[in-house]
This record gives sequence, C-alpha cells and structure tokens, in this order.
Amino acid sequence: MTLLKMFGDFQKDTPEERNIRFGVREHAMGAVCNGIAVHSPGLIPYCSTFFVFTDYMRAPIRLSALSESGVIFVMTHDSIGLGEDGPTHQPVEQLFSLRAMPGILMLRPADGTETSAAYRIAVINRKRPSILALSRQKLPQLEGTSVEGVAKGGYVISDNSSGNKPDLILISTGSELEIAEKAAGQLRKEGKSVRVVSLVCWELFEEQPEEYKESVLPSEVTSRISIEAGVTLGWEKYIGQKGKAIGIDRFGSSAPAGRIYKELGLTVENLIATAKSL
Amino acid sequence: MATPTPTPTSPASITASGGRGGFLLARARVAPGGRWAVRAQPAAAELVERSVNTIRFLAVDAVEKAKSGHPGLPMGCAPLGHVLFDEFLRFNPANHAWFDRDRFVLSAGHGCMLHYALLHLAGYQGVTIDDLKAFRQWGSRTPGHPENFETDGVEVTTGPLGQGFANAVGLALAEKHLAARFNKPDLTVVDHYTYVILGDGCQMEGVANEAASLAGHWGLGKLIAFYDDNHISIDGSTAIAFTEDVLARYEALGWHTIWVQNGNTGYDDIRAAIKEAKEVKDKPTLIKVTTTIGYGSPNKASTHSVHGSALGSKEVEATRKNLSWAHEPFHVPDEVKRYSVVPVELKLQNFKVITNKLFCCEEIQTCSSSLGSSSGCCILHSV
Repeated sequence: MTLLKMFGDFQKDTPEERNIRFGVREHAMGAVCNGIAVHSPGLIPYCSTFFVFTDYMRAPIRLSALSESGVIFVMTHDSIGLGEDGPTHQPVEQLFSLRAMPGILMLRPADGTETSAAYRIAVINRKRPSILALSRQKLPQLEGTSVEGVAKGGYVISDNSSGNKPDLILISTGSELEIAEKAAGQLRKEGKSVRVVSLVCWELFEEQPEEYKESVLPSEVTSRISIEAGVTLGWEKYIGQKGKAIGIDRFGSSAPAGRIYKELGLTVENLIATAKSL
Repeated sequence: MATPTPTPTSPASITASGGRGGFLLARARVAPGGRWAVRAQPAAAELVERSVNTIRFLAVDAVEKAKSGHPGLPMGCAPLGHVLFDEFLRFNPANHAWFDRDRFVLSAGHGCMLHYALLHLAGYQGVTIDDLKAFRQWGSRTPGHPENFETDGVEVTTGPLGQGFANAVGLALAEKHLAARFNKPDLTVVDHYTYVILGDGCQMEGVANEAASLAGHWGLGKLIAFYDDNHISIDGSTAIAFTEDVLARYEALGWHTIWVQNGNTGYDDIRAAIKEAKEVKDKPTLIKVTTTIGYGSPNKASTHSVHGSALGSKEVEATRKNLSWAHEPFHVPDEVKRYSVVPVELKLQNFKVITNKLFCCEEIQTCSSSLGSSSGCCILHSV
C-alpha cells in the first residue's frame, strides 16, 4: 500500500497528518497535488492510483510537466498482469502515450532495486514530474539490476558477449524483464551471446552521452527484440528496422494473469521463437 | 547566544525558542514592502473607479494590440480584482516567493490580462508596461494563459478550465497542513488565505466539483473562491447548457456561500463579502459575483463575442467614450500609479516587522529589547 505508515490521515480535524484521502477523484487528486507542490519548495507530494486511471488525470499530469511542479505519480496495476479485472482496467497504450508527453519521466522498474532507484529519481527531480508504473503482481528480484543503472534510464543487466557485439539484444521493462532474462538464459545455453537491457526510463536514457548509449545498444547489432506488456508503437526507436517488438496491440482480457500472458504471446517460448526467426 | 543553523528547505527545523527573553518572536507577519491588511481605508470612490478603468483598458488595449485574447472577463472582473488586490491580498511585489503570502489563482486563466494588469499596478517587476504590450507574443512574459514558470506572481499554470480551482484547493490544503504542523501558541509562522476566481466554464468542468467536494470535506476555511457569474461561456449563454443552482450545490458540498448581486459597481458589497468569507473559519467560501462580461463596451457587453476576441478598433473607441476614458492605449494615470504601489515606509511605520530570513545567523537580532518598538524581529525564510 502506498500510504505513509508513520502518519495518519489528513482530515478536517487532523490537518497535521500526511496521508490525503481523495476518494474516487483521480482528476482532482492530480490537480490538488499540483497545488501542494507549488505551495512551498519543501513539499513533495506523491499520489497513487491504478495506471489505467492516469487517463482521468491526464490534464493535471500534463500541467505538472508544463508548470514544472514535479509531482510524483505512483501508478500500480500497470498491465494485463492485473488479470481478471479485465480490459477496462488493463493499460495498453498508456506507457507510450505518457512517453510521448514532454517534460515527464516515465519509469517502469522491474524489481525492488529498480523501484527504489526510480523513487529516488522521482524525489530528486523537482521540476519534472515522474510517473512510476508498477505491477499488481509480485515480481522476483533480478540479478544485475542496479540503482546506478536506472539513473541512466537504460542499462545492461546481463551479457555473455564480448567486444560490445552480442548476437542478440533483448530489451524490456518492468514485469517483462524477467521473461527476457529467462529467454536469454536458455539461448545462452544454446551457445548464443545475448545481452539483456532494462530500459526503465526512455527520457533519462536519451539524455545520456552517445558513447554510453552506444555501449548499451551498439548500432552494429541489429538483431534486437523488445518485450513489454503494452503497445509496440514507439519501440521501433530501439529495435530498428531489423528488430522485432513483442507487445500488445489490442485491448486485454478478463482472465487470470498467467493465461492472458500466454494467450497474447508474452512468454519465454515466444521470445525464443522470435529470436530464432530473426 | 546560540544561533540555530539555517536549513532553507526544511521548515521542520524551526525551533521556537519563543518567549520574552528569546530572539525569535513573531508579531505581525509582513515582509518589509509587503502588504498587510493593506489599507486602513479604501481609496476614495473616484480613485477606485479610475483604478478599475485602468485595469479594464490595460486589458482591452493589450488584447487589441495582440489582436488576440479575452477582454470580457478582465472588463467584468476589474472591480473585484481591484478590491481584492488593493484592499485584501497580502503579498510582496519585491519578493513574489515570500512564504506567507496570500495565494491568488485565476482559474479562468483566459482572463489573464486581468491578472497581469493587477500585477503590473501592484509593482511586480516581472510585469512591466512593455510586458503588457507584448501580450501573447513570442518570448513575452505575458503568455495568453498564465504560466507560473514564466511570470512572477503567477502561482500555477492555468488555462484548461477547472484546473486552477483544484490547484487552489491544494494550495489551501498546504496552508492548513503547514499551519497545523508549525504554528505554536505564541508563534504564528503560517497564516495566509487562498483566493481563486473561476467562471462558468470552470464550474462546468467535473474536476471543479471534485475539488469543491474535497474542500468542503476538509473544511478549508481559508479558501475563498469568487465565481464570476456573467452568464456567458465559450459556448454562448449559459442558458444553452448550464442552468443549475451553483450556490445550492456548493452549500450541499459543505461550503459557505455569498451572493454579490452587483459585481459591476457594488464595491461595498464586494468588500463585505470578502470580510464575511474571511470570518468563516471552518468552511471554504464561494462568493458568487454577478458581473457583466465586457462591462463598459456599449455594443458587445454581455455578449458571447467579448469572451474570446479583441473588441476591434471601433468598439475600443466606443468603450473609451462610454467610460469617459480619453487616454491613449496602455496609459496608467499618475494618481493610480502612485496609489497602487504603497510605499514601504508606510507599512514599516505601523507594524512590528517580520523580515524574510529564517533563523539566518547574520540576520538575527535580539528582540528582547524591541518588544515595544517597531524594529524588526526574525522570521521565516523564503527559499
């Protein structure tokens, strides 16, 4: 739960407390947070709801970016991984549409390390609002994730190649990074050199120097596959002409999460098959 | 005597050593050059009228020069704007970020020439007469809808209707929260009001109702909203799509409501309403101010066309005749100029002053000897 455990609720008679209950008013929540943020430099508001309901909050998110109010948006239930609540609640296009919005940081961390790193970035960036897309489902701690890596927006979490020339690069974010890792593991057993990249925050990655970006995604290597539980639109930027994007270009479904992942092809098997088809 | 180290970004470090022998004592909260319950008396009626027309014509002329903008609201809300800024609002034009200033939001952001004119007359350096002349031009500090990162004195970026009103609820929440956390029985460091002007358009947007509902639930008694009731929106007459009883709705949401039926010339009514609103401590207040959009324009007042287009040179001329304003564009009469910017010395005379530094070593003065005097004691840092 995203409440501050050491504080009570801000109410009419307990205004010194710090957890503000907005009820079901996402739009006002975003706008009220903008007001709190600009009131004084020492106030850092963060707000939280389901990622799909950023749609209700889009106007204040945009104004937060424009007016440099640096609000932190902690958005959970960020994909088909939420399962049975179904397509009305499953974000698909939100990641891309918020990456498209100028002046915000759209972060999708994969595990505990990356999440705390994302939070740190959000707190440090006082002029740019940050949106953290977090899963509903529990995710395992992955090897190779790091706070320093997340700060650069994109980084290598595992790699058995040498000379910056892997056979294949797998790029992912959030809950799908685990799938990429598993697929890489299998492909490496079959003798391939595979690099796995976590591209937590596109905006921060783009701000890195060219040499760094080249060291993560060398232009020579054209065999690239992205996998993310969202629309594939936008991924051309990182997979290039010869790459493939595995994603969801339709609305989700009401079913247990594992079943949806399987039906929509976000699986280790499909990723491996795609790798072999390149 | 120990001097606490300053920590500009965490007011939590305030340690009120308080008391008589101490050196940190807040008496009145005003920055030198800042506005306290500003005037003992309002200006004479004639000067008020001249100030109000100055505001109106700065707006008319700026929109006309840009051939773009919204003259109607500034013309209709000039009386309200003048009374609020001149007689009630506490702020420091020389320090737009003074921590304990009253907050003002123009939620109906398209009427921003009203706000820019008021900032200019009050003496904000960020809105010079040249800035007014550059309204809506590339690189100007007076964009077509207010931008907080562009213009000093603008608290939030507004334009999409309803947003500013909800921002204002957030500003009032922050005040109530910080006051609860940091004020002590003998030391008040946070005590300011949040004022917001919103129109029919804002009232229609759902976010405004969400925010009003929250403000009522939270009992934000220092939030005072002015509803510019001019019966016009971008759509045309409110009879087309907006015929509800707004005051009844706000009462249902837990607000105190007041209706100023003559917002065009009822200056005393406006004053009385604001005073009444300030006295209601446990509920936010909505003051419905009935105005004529485009007041003063003989052919376009009360019409849809004055909402979002320049008057056109013929109508500008007709409005000048109608209001007996025989001045060239962007003219600010001397007496209005002199009166609007209240001299610093005047305020220092009457109040025990709190200057803008928080517990900064160099600035601390001992107050034990100055309790009865009007010299300065320490205060609250504005980062």
